[in-house]
Amino acid sequence: MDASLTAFTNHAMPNPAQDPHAFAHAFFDQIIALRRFGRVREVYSPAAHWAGPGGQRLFGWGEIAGWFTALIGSFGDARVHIQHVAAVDDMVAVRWELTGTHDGGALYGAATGEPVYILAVTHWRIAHSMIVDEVSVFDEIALMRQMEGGL
Amino acid sequence: MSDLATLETALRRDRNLAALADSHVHRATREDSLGIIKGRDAITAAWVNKDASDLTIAADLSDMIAYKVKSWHGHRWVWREAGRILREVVVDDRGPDRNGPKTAPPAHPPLGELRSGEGQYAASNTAILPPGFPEEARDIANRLHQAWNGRAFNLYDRTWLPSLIRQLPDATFHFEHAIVGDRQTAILWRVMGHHAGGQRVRLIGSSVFTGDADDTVIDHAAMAAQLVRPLIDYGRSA
Repeated sequence: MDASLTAFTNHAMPNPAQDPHAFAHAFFDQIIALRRFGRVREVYSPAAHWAGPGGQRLFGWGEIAGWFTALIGSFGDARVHIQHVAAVDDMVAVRWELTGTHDGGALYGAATGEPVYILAVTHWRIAHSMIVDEVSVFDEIALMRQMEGGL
Repeated sequence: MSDLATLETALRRDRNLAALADSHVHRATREDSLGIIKGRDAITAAWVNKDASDLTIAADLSDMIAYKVKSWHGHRWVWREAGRILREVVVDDRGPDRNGPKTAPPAHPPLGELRSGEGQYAASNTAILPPGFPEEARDIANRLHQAWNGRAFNLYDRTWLPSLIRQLPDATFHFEHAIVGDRQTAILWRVMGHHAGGQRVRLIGSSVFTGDADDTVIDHAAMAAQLVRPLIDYGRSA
């Protein structure tokens, strides 16, 4: 097999301080699209803080990797696309969308089999070429409405 | 005396809460082992609920202080933006019962491993430290990692350590930040573990080392509160 054809490359992640756009795309490709949760340890500081929907607050590699695992554990066929990346100083903002099926109970209770669409924004603060702070937001109420079979 | 120590005295002893208007940015946050307060107004409101009390500054490392109030003690860490406080972390230990029990807000169900990616490997000889962790504090952090995460209690003979690990047998300690002074080194850390009742406990700890002696604070009341806190329920059981 031509190694260049496999998606499971082990290339180093781009430096977010030098090329935030490439970093953002590699981040979502590797961690969410390819489910390589171990790469959390390459891109986040071991003392990173993470804040998300519903007041969820996490700390460190284990809990942050747990979040991505649970997200995919809720929407097992999730596909993610980046709409926009903006970077200023040490901040990187990414607007992204996720489509999938609520086929697991990791985050939001028993699977309903309903299709879902999430529009989300993530802000990273970068220091020493790693994510030290993340805030990710999406409309969790709208998501739960979709899982109940609404629009 | 540092600006932070002066502020602590103004707030706690003199109740000069107006000082917060200059010391903190409006979006400042204050975190402890039970949660986070967002905004200077909310931080001010929390101070309003405290009675005036005399205090002693036990350690002053500029952006980290240790203080003693009556029979309990606490540590305060701050991060600044253009000189004003943007974020503060407070660790105090008034014992599990003094001033009444604390109440922990409902928590999300726990996510993730305590020791990410390490499986059943033994604790390494060196701590996993965040980038930018001061070189001068690494030896202490590595020794604490061996004693705390590696359970080498002979390297750190304090009664609180085995007592905590008896309650949280899988307790894992994470080092977050350090400040090195002329004679002292302060380390901010977190511990996560599971109680026999199944609750995950997440506590912030703080230690100030003067030579081999240390002043370490963990909020035991927050731990007691976390053991009985409810989990957030999305309304549909899996």
